[in-house]
Amino acid sequence: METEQAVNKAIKGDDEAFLQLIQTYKIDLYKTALSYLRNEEEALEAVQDVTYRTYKSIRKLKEPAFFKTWLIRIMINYCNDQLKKKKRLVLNDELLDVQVVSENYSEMELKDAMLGLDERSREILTLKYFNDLKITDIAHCMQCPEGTVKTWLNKALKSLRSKLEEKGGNLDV
Amino acid sequence: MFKNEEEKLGHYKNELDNIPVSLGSLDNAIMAGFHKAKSEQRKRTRKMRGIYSFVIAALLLIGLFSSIKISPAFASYISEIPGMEKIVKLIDDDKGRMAAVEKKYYQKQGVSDEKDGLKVTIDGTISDEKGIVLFYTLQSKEKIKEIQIDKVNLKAKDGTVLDEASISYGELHQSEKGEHSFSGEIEYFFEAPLTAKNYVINIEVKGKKFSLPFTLNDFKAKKEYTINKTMELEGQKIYVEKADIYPLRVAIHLKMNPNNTKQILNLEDLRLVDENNEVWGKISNGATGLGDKDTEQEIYLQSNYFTDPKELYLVLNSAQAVDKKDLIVIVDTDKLEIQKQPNGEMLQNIRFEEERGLVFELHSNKAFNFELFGDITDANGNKIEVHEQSMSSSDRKGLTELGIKLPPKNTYKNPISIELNYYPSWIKGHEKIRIK
Repeated sequence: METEQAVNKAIKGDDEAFLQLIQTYKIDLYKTALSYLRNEEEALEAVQDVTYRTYKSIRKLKEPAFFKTWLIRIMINYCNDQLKKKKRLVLNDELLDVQVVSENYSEMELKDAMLGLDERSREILTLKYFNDLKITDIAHCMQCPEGTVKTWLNKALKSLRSKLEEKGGNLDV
Repeated sequence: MFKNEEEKLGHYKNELDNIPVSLGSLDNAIMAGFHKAKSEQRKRTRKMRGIYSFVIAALLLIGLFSSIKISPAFASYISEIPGMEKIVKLIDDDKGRMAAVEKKYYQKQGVSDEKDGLKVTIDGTISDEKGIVLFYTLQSKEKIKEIQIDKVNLKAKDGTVLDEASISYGELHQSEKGEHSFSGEIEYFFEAPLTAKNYVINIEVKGKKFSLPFTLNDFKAKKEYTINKTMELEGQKIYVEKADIYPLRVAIHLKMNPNNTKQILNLEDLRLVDENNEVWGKISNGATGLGDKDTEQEIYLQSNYFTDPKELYLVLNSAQAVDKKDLIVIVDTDKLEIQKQPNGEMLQNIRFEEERGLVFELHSNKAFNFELFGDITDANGNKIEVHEQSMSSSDRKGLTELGIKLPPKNTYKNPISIELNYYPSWIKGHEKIRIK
């Protein structure tokens, strides 16, 4: 409830409320960025740009109750844009990482698999599992029925499975 | 069903959560993004306001006001001061500024800077806590047919940040046979009252840069009148909060009632009247209004600061207004069809022309010299950037042609929505409220 009040204030142009909100979710934003991007530096840049984008568009937020989902989605959009910009580069680096960082094998394996997913699947998984958001919230923010989100989620998990199997198979050889 | 995958996701989340975060860097990133957004917000409002001011200013040049009488005493005062005549010529459409000169509130500056045969002089200033009007002369050894100030930049010498609300300059000085000297005005208005006294104005003309320092005398303090009354024209309510009377202009603070069924687009008729029926109308050349038409705005009138009448009234008999539901004109540029416009169908005969782009004819009862169109969006709600708008009146009375240069058709989706900024339809009434 407190958050909702702050959101309402921020929509009306209250800068203090806006900054307080970003403070509340900064770790979620940063971690989401880290899961998509390559390093700390890029993630910080992402937080900066998303703060900027959020401030510019907060007046367009229709349902204050879903602020967090809305905010994380701005971050995911930003990350997707970044990935498109340097798609080739990222893929090459990821491959290198997989070979070099053997200790973090499981992490890299999953990150790599996530990278291979389509944008929507990745978004749903990020919202649901990394940011602990409810299906209801995600459905509201994506403006679609909960059933659809569930279907997407299932599909996302399924493709994740096949990506992991693919990766596992390759690496086992 | 996906237990294994969910576990892996959970595990990955934990790993992410355990990555140490430099909170300091994170906070710096947040503040950097926030400041960037803030600074753009300020720029944007300024730019918008600039356009709003400019548009009206250009249009009101078409003399709505009777000429100002000059008393014999004033005439002799003018003739005594060298160079005063050209100043008076610049302000003789503004009663308030004429009075300021007459009451010796005009301040002589006389600073010059010269480069490659071109000399720029700040002859003098009229200033108050919210604005500075600078009178300049451009002089050249050779005869010049066309000259214009390209850029101005005003700074306080002590580094105080100046919060400009509007800047007007750049009048194109032309002469067919060529002249050695041209005079004009640069007008600055500010959001916050001025505190500094010493300034430098940097002026760019024909690629040359001139720097001119000047000092302002003490300002005469504003006179404030609280009004808190409502004016009503055909059921549309305008709440008048207060009037601030400064030497350079009067600012009337208004709020439109949110329940109005019509959008009030312009108040060109708003004026101050004293007990002798002397009238102070809108500023005829310069910023005439600031703010948001939906909600709060300030309208600027010529100042009666130096007159001090016994009684003072704010009077309004008409206002440009359109039903709120009619504020958007919808046009299909493929079919060349106007799908929606206010009753009366004053917009007609749309077509594409190479020079002017999409051209509309506006058929009104009398000549209408306001730029009709504001923001344009396409069928997907994306804003369309317009390169240029043009307006031309034909010989036939009441026929105006309006051109909009749109980007190529494949960059937007039809039909497009055009917001009306002005429209030749008025609501009427007889409102007169006492201020003093």
